Amino acid sequence: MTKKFYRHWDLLIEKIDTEMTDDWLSIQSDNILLEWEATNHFHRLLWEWIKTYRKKTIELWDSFYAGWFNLMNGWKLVHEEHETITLEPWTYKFYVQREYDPVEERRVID
Amino acid sequence: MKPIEKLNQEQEGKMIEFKDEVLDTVFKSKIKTDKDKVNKAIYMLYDIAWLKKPDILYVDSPMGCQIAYNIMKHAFNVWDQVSYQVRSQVRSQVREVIAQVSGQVREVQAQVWSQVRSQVRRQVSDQVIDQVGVQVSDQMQDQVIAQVESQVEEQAQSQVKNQVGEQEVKWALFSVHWRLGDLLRLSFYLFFHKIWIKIDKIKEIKTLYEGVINWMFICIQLDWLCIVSGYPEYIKRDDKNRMHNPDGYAIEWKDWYGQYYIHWVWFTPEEWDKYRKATALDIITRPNQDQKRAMMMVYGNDKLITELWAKVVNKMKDGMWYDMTLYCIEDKSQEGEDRYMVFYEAIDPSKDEKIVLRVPPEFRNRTAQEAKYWTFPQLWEEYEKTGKIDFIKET
Repeated sequence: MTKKFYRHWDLLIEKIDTEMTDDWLSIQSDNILLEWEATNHFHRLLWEWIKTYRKKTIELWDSFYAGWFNLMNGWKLVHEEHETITLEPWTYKFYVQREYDPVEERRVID
Repeated sequence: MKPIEKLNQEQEGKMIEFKDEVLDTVFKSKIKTDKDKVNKAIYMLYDIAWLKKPDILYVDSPMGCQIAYNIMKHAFNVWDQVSYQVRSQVRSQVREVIAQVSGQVREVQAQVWSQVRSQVRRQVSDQVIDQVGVQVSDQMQDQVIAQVESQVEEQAQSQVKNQVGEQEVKWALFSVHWRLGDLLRLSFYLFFHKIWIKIDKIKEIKTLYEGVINWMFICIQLDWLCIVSGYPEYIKRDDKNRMHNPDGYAIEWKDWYGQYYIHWVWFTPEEWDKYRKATALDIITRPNQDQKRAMMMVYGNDKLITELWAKVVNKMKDGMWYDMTLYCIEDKSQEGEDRYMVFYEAIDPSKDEKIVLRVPPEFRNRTAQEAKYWTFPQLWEEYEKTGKIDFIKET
């Protein structure tokens, strides 16, 4: 079966069939899925209630794998510079973009 | 004692409390300067290495240590080879103490060791990243120290020469113990002690810990003199916690001694001046490949492709809106595949937003669409497997 993706500019979201529970910490109250401190840009999920999870270790960046989230209701994914995406209730993984470097691949900071 | 499988609530609370104590001391600009405690730690260090009590000289930076060493050396005309012997002696004795402590902890709590170890370090690291953008795992600290040390050595000849005139400049080895890199190791043992383990040498560990957090970034240990450097005023890092500051020193001490780094690549002050004025052509023809790479990252791909008149190798529409282009710049100074620098550019005309990402050299023979997929490893994997990508929605 082919995988299903959403792309929110520099953020890739994959719809997955499995629940993920292990080794994930931190419930964020501000619904920010991904935030780049350098540019103060962020991808934010909009709704009155959310449970998002992010792995709190630095290693997660090495695989360009940013985290996952469960949605209990419909959601809107917003970013100040990109069109809004509406997501159906499901479980999703999200990833960051990469860039080639002769020595080591780098993740992209928008 | 029965092994503990998991920390209970009280122990977890203590871990957080202890972590805060360490971080607040070191990273909230609260480096203590209680020299009595540093003196006590150094005296103890010499004592356990069976050395006589040294005099202690405080300076602001590692370069200050080298300058002080040379001034003292020429004033008293002694110490050839002495520093190495003392350093080795201190190292072996201190290691013995640590080995004993470590052995006790491991023996009693083998199972929980790695759990707590990673939790303490992870929490410390996360906290630091959140608060000051600096990772302080002991490994990183060691890397910082090693990097700083080797660059001080590179510069010592010229900088120390300014201070000691015509006399020959000597390089003194820095201590292996005790310095910043040991802070987390020491705090780790203290934490174990606080929660449940009785450690025989805890008094020594405490004394050394107090010394390191109060002043000792690094030191030079001589037979009757210990020259101690203070902590840097700041260390700036990139998102991978490597020393990095494109606008000035990435690390600087109170006496204005500092070092330049871009993404962990060191620049001498002369190279730094050139870097500040560099054009795309200067960057691309730079013989030092590490510096070239680092400078390209800071300079920006979009400026590189414009200023170097990059060749368009593929151009196409991505759906209705996006323009995608693949560019290639040939760097004739290089051999092999890496002589081709390929860039993927995507433009969203509705927002006039552009992203330019470097992709592997072989993409000069592929399409811009494929290059886009490559920029997300999961898409690329799926594309290679199935030959297509299903987007539910793309913006």
